[in-house]
Amino acid sequence: MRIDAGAGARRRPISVTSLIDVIFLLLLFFMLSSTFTKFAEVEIVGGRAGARAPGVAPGILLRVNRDVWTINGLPVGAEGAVAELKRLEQAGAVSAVLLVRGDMTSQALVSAVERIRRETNLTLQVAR
Amino acid sequence: MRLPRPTARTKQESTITLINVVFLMLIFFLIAGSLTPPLDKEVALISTAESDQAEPPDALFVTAQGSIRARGAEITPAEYVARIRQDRLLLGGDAITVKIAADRDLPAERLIGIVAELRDAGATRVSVVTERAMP
Repeated sequence: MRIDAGAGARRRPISVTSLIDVIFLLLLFFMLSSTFTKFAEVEIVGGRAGARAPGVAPGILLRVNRDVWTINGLPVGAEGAVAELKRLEQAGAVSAVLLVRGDMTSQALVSAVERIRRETNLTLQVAR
Repeated sequence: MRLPRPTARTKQESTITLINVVFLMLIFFLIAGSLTPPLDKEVALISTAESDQAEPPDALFVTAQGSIRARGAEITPAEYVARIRQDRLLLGGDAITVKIAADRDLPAERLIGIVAELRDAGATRVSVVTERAMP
């Protein structure tokens, strides 16, 4: 006589608790260690005589003080400054030096550098 | 004769839905987030609109008061450059790229001063890490 051993035994479901544990740990790890901030970087040339443009006299001297940009000693509004820089670039200027004075913050400096890089093709250095 | 009442077996709550939700969250964080080296909590990064996108930084952090830190410990620019050189096994003539994550309220003069110190210590390319503002 053949006896079917598994005839009456009900299959027990596999426990999912350990699976949840592992997934939960993974979730916590990724939640805590990841960020949604997008980063960017802006190169700062200068400080000391940079390797990029060593010892060349700059064509444009630039000073930024809040809304007033002073280009070669001439005060221009922030809006007109880029137009003036473009005009000078067409007149043959290649490099510019941005002078940092007084209570300028890093945010203002980097914004100005980014704007000049974006709008013109000048080689920009930053100096104190 | 007292008989013990048969204990009513509570039906096991289904954990499948829980797993589904947690799994979805896991996949969301995997795809949408990006892993970062620890960022300094005291530094509010400079925001820019349209510079080149970059990887999350392992950078030299400068707070608004001007104290310089890397991975939570105070450090001088020269030491930082030396450490990068050691970590990446660079030789004397190799190019060294240094990233600074400066606070947005740090005086620009101080920032330029730190850039100058980094250059003196041998860094060839110095860039400032910013966060991209959402358009």
